[in-house]
Amino acid sequence: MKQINQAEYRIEPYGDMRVPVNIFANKNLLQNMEKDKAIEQAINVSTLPGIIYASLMLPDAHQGYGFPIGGVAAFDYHDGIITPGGIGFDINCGIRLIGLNMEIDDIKKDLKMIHSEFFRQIPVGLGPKSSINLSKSDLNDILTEGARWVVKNGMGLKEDLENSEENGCMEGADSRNVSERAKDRGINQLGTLGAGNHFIELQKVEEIFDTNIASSFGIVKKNQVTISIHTGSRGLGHEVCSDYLRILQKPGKKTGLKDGNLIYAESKSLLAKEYFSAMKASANFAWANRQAITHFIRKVLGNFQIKENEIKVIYDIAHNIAKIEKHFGRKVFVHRKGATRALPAFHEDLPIQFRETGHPVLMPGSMGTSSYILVGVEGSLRKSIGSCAHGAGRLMSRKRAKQTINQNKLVNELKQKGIELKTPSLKGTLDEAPEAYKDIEEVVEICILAGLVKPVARMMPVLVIKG
Amino acid sequence: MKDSGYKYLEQTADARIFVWADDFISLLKEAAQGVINLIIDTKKIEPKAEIDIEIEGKDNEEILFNLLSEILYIIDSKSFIMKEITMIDINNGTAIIHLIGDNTENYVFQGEVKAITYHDFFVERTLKGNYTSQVVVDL
Repeated sequence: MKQINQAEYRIEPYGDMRVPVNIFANKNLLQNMEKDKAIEQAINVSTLPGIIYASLMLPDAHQGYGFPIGGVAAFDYHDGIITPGGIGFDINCGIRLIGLNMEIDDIKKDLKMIHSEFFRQIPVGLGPKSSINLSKSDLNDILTEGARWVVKNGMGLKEDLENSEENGCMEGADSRNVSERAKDRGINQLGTLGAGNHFIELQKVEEIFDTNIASSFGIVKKNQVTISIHTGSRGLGHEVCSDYLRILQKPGKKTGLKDGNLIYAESKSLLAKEYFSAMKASANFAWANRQAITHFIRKVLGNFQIKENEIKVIYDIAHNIAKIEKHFGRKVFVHRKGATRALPAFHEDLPIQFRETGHPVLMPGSMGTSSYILVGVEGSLRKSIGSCAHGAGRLMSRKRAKQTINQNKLVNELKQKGIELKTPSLKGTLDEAPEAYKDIEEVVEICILAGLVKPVARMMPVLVIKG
Repeated sequence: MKDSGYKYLEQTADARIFVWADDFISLLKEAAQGVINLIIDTKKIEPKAEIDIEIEGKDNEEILFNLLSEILYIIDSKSFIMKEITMIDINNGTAIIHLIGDNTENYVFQGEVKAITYHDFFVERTLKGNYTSQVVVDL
């Protein structure tokens, strides 16, 4: 491994590697990556057919299954592959950021009530079902139409869609490629948060780095209220990933792959088309899910005299997804697993409102730490296949976190920072404590130093709901 | 003396479950306990309902993998959380499994298991004839 500069390392190809592994990290982050199998996994990715440029590890990379989480790779559209292991089980797990045109002091007296109402109105955790009753045919429409279906059914504004990646819907999703099992799992889950690392945070803007870009996104002052929603395609997406891993494993188990989760379909094959279509359908379900949660949030805030049009979707971005894009002059399947898109200003794929700034890149912290709005800069196309890190990235195993982090201490520490937490199970949330994650500031710093993004604003949580 | 059980090993973002048992049926039961106990302490679940599931698999690995996937599937699709597997009947690659448990709406869960993965997954029969297995799940 050689160090390129203070934010980049490279492993040149050896053995059956087809391209290098490029790592965005400083010494400390690199040492963390060396503690688990993340680097080995990125090397495995570099051996896959049709990979171009490099197998990437972003600063928050850690061990996943198949790809590392925080891993990005692009495969030739004609001679490459698509692999569920490069996208993950929670297809289109992502972040939606909402901006309110008021300061935290304006709602200070209502915060406790708002917190309770969010917790009451939005199904959180594993058990509770959605209050939105869907028929099978509704669900099929959602898989094709994504967030558009939710808005069409009175749960959102047209502008919500305009400010979402892909306008909240990837075209070409065919619900027939999604199994009945997956649909059975998803039908009661529209507008539910789920558990694990999923959360809703009400935040305040703590720092604005670029006032022009921030104000064009609707972030105009310090202490302004924002809300982040972090969730994905729920059981439906998990099942789609499991289904296709199973289908892909079947036609001859001896694949020679070092990791069964890297099983792939060649991009020209029928299976690739079917999986990509099912992945799009799951991504659409995730956008619909975040749109439905947005609707619940607006409903709650409406009870506190905050009007629907005072609550603006700033952006909605996917963290686990494959997309057809053009990089290095080639049409490719970009796989981003625990990574976001980060297209710089004037990129041809940007919608008009983000043409001069680049779209917002949303990077959440971990319960007690900052979240960032950034924008892609030129280096992201040159170095990271138009991608950026997706968050702090896990540092401590869940098992160790549960053993070492004290419940009362966690709650007190959050309280001291002015952060209130609600969760169905405090014990279940211990492994999501800030100290179980890498330092978000360090991750952001490396992304900036490497020339992938520049910072726009930083928020701190005030109210947290953890699944 | 019967010796079977499971334990959780270190794994950064997920959970790694190591399972051992004297026979394959016990291995299936222990692995299922290992997965569900990540979601809730199975001792807390009341045995109020029962359900039969049928899975297929051409070998032991496929049977275990499909069984674990199925007990996750019925949480979302049938609102059924397993307490215990009470009976397993395997015949010609088809397994009929009888579960006792309860409706998910009666409980607060400490976590969610998104999926069973193929990462480092194996079922092995040792020279002594015992079984060991490793399952990594996505949380």
